Amino acid sequence: MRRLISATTVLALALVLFGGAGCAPQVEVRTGTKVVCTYGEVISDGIHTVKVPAQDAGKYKVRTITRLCPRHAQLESLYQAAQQALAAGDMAAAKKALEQVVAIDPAFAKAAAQLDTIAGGGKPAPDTSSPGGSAATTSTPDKPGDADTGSPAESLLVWAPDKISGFTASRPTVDPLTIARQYVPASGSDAVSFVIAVEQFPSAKLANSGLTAQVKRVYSRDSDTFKLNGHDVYFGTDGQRYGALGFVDGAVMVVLEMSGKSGEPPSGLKSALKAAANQLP
Amino acid sequence: MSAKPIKLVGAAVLAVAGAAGSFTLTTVVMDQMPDALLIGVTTLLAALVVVTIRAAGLGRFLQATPPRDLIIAALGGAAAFWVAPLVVLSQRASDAPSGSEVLFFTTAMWGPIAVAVAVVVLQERPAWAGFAGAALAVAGAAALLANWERPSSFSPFAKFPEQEIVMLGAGAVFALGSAAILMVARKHDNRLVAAVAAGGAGLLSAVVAVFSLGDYGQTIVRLSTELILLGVSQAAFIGGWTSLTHERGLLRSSSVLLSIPAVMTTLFVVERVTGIFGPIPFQIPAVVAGALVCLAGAVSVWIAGTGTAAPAATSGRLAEVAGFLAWLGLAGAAVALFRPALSAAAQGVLGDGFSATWVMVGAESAAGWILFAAALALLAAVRTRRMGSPSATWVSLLVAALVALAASPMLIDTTLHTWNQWVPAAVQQTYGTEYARFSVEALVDPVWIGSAVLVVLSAVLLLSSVLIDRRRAARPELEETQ
Repeated sequence: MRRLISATTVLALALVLFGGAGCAPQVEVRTGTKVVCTYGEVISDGIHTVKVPAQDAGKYKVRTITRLCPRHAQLESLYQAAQQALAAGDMAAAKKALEQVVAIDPAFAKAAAQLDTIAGGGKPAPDTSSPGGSAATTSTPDKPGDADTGSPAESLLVWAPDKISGFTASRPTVDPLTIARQYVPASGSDAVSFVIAVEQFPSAKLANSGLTAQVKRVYSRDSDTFKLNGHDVYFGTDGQRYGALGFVDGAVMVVLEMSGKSGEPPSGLKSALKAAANQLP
Repeated sequence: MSAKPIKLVGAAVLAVAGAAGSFTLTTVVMDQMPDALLIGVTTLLAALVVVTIRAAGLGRFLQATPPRDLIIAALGGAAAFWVAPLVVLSQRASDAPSGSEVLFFTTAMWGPIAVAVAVVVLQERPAWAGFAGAALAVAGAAALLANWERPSSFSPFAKFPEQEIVMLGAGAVFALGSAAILMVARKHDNRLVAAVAAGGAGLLSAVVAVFSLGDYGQTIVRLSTELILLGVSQAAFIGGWTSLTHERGLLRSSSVLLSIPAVMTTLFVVERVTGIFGPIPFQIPAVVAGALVCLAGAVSVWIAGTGTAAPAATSGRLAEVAGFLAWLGLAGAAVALFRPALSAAAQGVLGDGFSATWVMVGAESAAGWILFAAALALLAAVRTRRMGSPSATWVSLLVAALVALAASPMLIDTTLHTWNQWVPAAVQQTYGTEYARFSVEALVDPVWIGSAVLVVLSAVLLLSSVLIDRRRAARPELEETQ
């Protein structure tokens, strides 16, 4: 009888401890709303951390609203007007609009280039791509990995650009420390889906650990490493449909994930991923 | 208990292979027909195989054996080989609970249940060694299954607690049925008792299956290959298990159940290496560490109580201190189960985003349970040695405890449940994608570290006391002069 009680006690203890694992502790949750410009700049950040009982944690949400900020809206409008003027052959109107663009954002490279061409007596071809293709690059720092982590989203966007040859970009999902952006492949592409995920870590060491945990271990088949744009790049597949290419730039981890057609070896995605990565900084 | 080692190993291999095959094949065909029909057909096939192989002398045996014993064996067989798998299957959907959880709750967790039934019902000994070894094997199995993938779908008692408790109930049915068969087998020819047990299971399963047949005749024909293989796997398990329990007893045979997760993981690793069914994102170092702990615990249960009993230990004070430290280590490990062990974070970006960080206690970590089980194993080693158990018993427990401690750094950041009731399901279902992530980081717990040190010290003192005893035994004259 004593042994029966002992055995039952041990079993009950195990059940309580294992079962208790699901019990609700205190949880720190982030909550609030953040407004981010389509181009990645944080317009307002009302997100804060609160400590709540775990059972209430699900009620707390982190809302990220993406909208075009007035500055970029003005830039888009002026740049668009300049392109229409160029198309119509009205160099004076184009020059005036482009000068306004550069006055607002001196780093607007395409506008500056068109102005230089006009100043040299040339006639630049109108830019038919979306204005975002230029504007998104206006405020990015030179070295994204070293960017101020106070608003890293805008610095991370440089790794998920509006234009990648052979793909159409969707709007990025922006979070303070991560950006994910889907790209729709053009017809005839080897890829079925394509995503670029960028994550800001506190240090380069942790970014490398992240690369190992999130890329090298998950995509461990067909692995290869090579240099690309000065980065040590890892390529691997899951052996089924997915291939990934990842690298670290400072404290930033950049991962390009692509799925191929069913039945085709994912190792074939390597060249498409390399081509896409080649268009990154 | 006089069977040759090769025969014992053969029975163990048969039982493990049969259980592993049954688990895998059941997963393949489980959604294709009613549970009662599937288990009914395969149990009937298994019974036919077992009865056919052991037919010689069965008629005479049935006539000569008291009906009461035949009924007990038949009902025990029905409970162990038909009711238990049927109850388990009734709790499974295609992928819920996850495969790793089902494997855990129908193999490793049945080990301590079988040990408990062996100790309480069959009065098998040594109980301490059995429970401690089983605890270690279960902790190792949980650790390795939690590392089959990350984020892991292994979250015992978190998402499907009712189903998993029922699976444990099925384990009790299986163990009690096995005990009933064993009690009869100890009085009669084991081979023929096993045939009666299989026959009882087959007969009852066939009767129930007939009522579930409906219009599934075509399905049975279509899946005939899988069903035959499943029946053969079950027959292998019945044959191996009944031989093993008869030769080694239920307590020691439970080591087979305890080792199945490690054996199946080995098969999956081979599968991964050869690429037959594609990769599984095993966390290899952690899986290897968990498998070592699991196997070390299972081996200590397999060995428990075998060999020649030794005289009780004499190196009084040192052994007492070792025992005291082991108790302290166990108490510290128990406290560590309730202390912060892991820092967890979950983040999702789909829809309304979610971001939370929280602390998980030792009971939610693999390392917490492994230290607890290692301390228990060492305490069992000290006690069994003091009681004069065969040296193989306490040596295997000591080695298992040390293996567990050595492996625990590899498992320090392994959580035993990824799923939480309070994290929005939409977030948890997208863990591991670019939309959501779950991560854990080990926290430094001085209580855990201190307890581990106490367990190691206890092991050192235990070994020292053994050396002193041996020296005294070699030079008895020294004893006399002191």
